Amino acid sequence: MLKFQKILDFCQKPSFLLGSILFVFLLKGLVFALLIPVFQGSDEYIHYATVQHLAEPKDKTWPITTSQRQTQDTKDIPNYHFTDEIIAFSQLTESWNLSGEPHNRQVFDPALITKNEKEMCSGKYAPHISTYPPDIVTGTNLAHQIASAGEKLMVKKDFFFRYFTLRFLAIFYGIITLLCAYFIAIWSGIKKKHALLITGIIAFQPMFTATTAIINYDPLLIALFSLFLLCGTSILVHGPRYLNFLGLFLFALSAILTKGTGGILLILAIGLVIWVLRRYFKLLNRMQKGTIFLVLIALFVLLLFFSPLNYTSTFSVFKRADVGSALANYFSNNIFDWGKVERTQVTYWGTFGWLDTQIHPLVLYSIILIELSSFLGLLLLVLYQFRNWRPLQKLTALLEKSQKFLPTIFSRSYSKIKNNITAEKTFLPKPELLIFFTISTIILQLAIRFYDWVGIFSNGEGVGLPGRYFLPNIIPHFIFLATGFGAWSKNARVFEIILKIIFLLMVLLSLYAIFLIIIPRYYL
Amino acid sequence: MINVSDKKIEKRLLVIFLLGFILIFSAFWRWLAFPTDYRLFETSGKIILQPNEALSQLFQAKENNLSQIQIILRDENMPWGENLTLSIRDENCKEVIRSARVDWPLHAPKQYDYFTFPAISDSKDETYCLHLLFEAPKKRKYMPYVLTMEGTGNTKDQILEWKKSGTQKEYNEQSFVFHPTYKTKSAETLSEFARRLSAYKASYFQGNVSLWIIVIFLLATLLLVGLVILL
Repeated sequence: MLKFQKILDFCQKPSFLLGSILFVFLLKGLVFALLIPVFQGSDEYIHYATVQHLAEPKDKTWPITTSQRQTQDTKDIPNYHFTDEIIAFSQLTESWNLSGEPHNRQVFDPALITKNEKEMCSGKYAPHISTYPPDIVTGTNLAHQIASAGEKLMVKKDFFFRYFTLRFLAIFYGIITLLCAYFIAIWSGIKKKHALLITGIIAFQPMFTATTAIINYDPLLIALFSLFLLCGTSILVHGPRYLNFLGLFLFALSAILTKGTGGILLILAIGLVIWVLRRYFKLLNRMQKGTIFLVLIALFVLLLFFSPLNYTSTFSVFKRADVGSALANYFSNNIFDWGKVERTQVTYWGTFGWLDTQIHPLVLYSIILIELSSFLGLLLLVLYQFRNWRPLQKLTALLEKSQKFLPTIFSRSYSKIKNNITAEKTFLPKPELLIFFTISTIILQLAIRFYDWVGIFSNGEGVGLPGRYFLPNIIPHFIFLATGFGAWSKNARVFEIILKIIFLLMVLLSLYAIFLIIIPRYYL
Repeated sequence: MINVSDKKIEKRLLVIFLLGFILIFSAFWRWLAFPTDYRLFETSGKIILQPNEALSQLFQAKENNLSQIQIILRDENMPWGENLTLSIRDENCKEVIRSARVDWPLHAPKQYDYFTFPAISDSKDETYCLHLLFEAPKKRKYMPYVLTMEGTGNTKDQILEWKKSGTQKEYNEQSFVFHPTYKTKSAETLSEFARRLSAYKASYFQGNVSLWIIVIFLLATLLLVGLVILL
């Protein structure tokens, strides 16, 4: 009995629980990597083509033809300039034919599968591109370069082995993100117990797992974004340390090298440096001030002359005369268009692949409802911080007076809400960190929408607003969600129960996504 | 009044979670059936379901133990008071042999709806009538509809609409987009599931390994849930 109690005590240690969450996440990642068929992950065709192209030998000894791609149809894979292996797979299995056709399924005829698998493993189709210009991701490709090193290591293995093993790299990025989530939550001032629950909630967000189980550059971007936020949080909480600043710029630079949106981290990093300088400048000695000055100048010169991204072409659209009205139109059309908001929401929570594999609208609306109730709590908490502001004081007085004329149930609810919101909240994140997360959220939102608008404005086609683009901010998102519910809670225990409920709902959502959405679509 | 300091709350939460878990898996287990045909086809149209005017089509079962019909219906939010019943009838579309309501409405939109019923043991080579009845007190703005594809050309296979007036409307050479599935023994079902999961996968995912990964993940999830909630 005593032994059992000892085991139980050990199992409930935060480090053991964190390890368990990471282990289950790893298993879930394996399940997703297994379940999502080849090339059904978002943009996997072009990302794997990029990885394979980077892994090609320097001496191109095979015949290369040059021709303009004849098709713009994203379903017409055989006509894209991908590697011979990718084209062969899509032709043999007709996997490209399934896109956008919810009534059609993969052909599971055993004889055909055996024949195609043999064909793919025969070495007949080369993992290199024979028609130029290649259809690959250009510019920033740190994620692809890392993956191409893996592709080179596995050069003697067959197509399926290389492909699925590379998906595991994304799971590893997911684990880094979860570790960051735990430490960011703790350093923000959240109790260990609550931090574990928040990490568990993020670990079971289905779209996060689905994204960190495919070949794409988003998983690395999410991890780098999280590492950056971890350094930023550490600076805000523990004060400036060289290692944190080094990490801050290293992760920002790596994020830029991974994907264009990573550029916003540089803005955030500079903002943080200014904040630190304002706060600590007087405490620094002459040597330290001089070092900071030199580092800033060096960074500026580096960015000016060796920028990894061509920002000039992006910002050249501002030279056009109709830019103001186009911007205003874009933002009003997107922010107030429920259809587009819903599309972003469903692709943030559960759209698994190209084949209309989405969670049901009612499930989505339930999630939105839960989020709204948290947002309301957050809003009340913010308003409470400004309680001495005269208009708010007047509004509160008016509410107090009007209680006399309202039914008892309303006045009781009002005083309960008031008591809960005004109760001391030592278990919630520190306000300066919430401000930091708010800024990072707003900047990412603006950056993605800006890139979408630039695409529409200059080429007539934007990058779209799929929810996975917003996943780099998943940690702030769930810390906000928790804070909103914390506002409604009268003490840490109530907060804990709410987090536990959300954790359980998230696990159920994940199981629902796997067993009633993904498996039926691809295998039944 | 709920006493928040009471640890019983956690136990109750776990019970509710387990109910949700069972609900998901019972729906999954009911769905777990595999059509014998792997069609890749073009849909050619749709037929809007009229309240209380059934649609029907004849089909021939290829195997014994016909137990499920997968059919594509488009209606994501069917209000209370409305019913959609699929029945398997004799070839004259008169005698009801089996009938079922849609299994689990919260499936992915635009995907197949599953109608599961007790297996018909001697169904092989028998001709059945697939009968679809939408019951609603009145018409609404967006009516549910069923997807159709080009039919076989055989007049016997055509979709018929059974009008309230007693007449029948024929839909020329149109067929429902549907799959009949046949119940097999649990071991066979799992084996077929593992085979499909392994298709076009790496060597380390072949055979029953894929099933084991899922099972281990489920057990680990249950353990984790227990530990985290009782924390």
